[in-house]
Amino acid sequence: MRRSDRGSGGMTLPELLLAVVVVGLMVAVGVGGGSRSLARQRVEAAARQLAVGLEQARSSAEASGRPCALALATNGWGDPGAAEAGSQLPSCQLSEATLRQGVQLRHNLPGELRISSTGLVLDGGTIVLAAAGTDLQRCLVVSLPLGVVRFGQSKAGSAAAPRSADCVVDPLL
Amino acid sequence: MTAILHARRRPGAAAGFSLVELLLAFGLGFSLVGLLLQAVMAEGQNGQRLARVLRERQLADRALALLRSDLQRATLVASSAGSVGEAAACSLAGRAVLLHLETPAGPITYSAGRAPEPIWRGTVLMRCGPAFGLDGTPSSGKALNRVLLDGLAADGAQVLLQAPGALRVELHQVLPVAAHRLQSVRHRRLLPMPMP
Repeated sequence: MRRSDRGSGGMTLPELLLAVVVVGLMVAVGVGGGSRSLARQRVEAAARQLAVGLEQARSSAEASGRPCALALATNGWGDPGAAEAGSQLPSCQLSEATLRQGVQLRHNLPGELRISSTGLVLDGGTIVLAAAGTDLQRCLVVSLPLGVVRFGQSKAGSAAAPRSADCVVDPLL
Repeated sequence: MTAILHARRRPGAAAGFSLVELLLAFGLGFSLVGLLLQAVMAEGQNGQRLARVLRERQLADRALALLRSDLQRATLVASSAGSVGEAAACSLAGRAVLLHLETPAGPITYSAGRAPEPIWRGTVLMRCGPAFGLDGTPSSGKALNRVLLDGLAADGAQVLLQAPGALRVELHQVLPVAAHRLQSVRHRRLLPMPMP
């Protein structure tokens, strides 16, 4: 770079502009990739939270020796009494049940997911999670009677009803 | 520091860094941060891998506990090699019968083979039998065929009747823990047979 004879310290205008453009490009690439990655992380965290919630509920039923029930709302696991009128079962104990905002959830679980006094899961279904900013549609299949949760990617459209047949396993999860 | 920088600069050049120096510094900084992030992520993946193997072990323990409780309720036990006919209450879709039990709530058949849906990995262990009630005991009603455990090797589920009065169960899971990397997990139990 040729520097002006009259120039004092620092960089020339072309150098500064080039540096700004280079840094701007790097920031743009970083922000684009970062927002996609953050959206993906939101979905993954919500999926893990739901699986942990179910496991907590199962463990609490087994430890107390009493059956309990859960209900899945758009913001995560909750009390089935609110959703299911006439529910006889107490709500399962959960420490952290509310999902972070920005994650869309749809599922085909019954209004009340029952857990036996021995920790067996009596109802199952499929949950699909998505978020703006990522194409990932993470699906969870809740299987009875052991309450095994498997993670996969939904191959159905974003508005399709959740089905376990559309959920293809992610072998590393 | 300023003195050193000035000492390296061409005579007559202005103070401050040139564009090449700045870009080099950026490049080195980003490379260093990238390497550190990779190391942190590798450590995290290692932890996740360990957690996953532990989780699979817990699931296998639960599956074996269920088999044990079914076995304790059985009035008749037959392995796949046994002479007693296996009258499964569900369609097994070509899966091999490992164990057939006759219980007061209905027949229970354990089988291993191809997964019924794409969410399951490898060979699966399935239980065809009555559903459970809120007290955790089998209830009367239509038999359900459910996956208990997946990720088994091709011949990764074996049940052998062993004298005297014991059933030997061996499960061998092959879990993909990273890209192109598998981990073998084996579960072995000697389960007591019901008293005649």
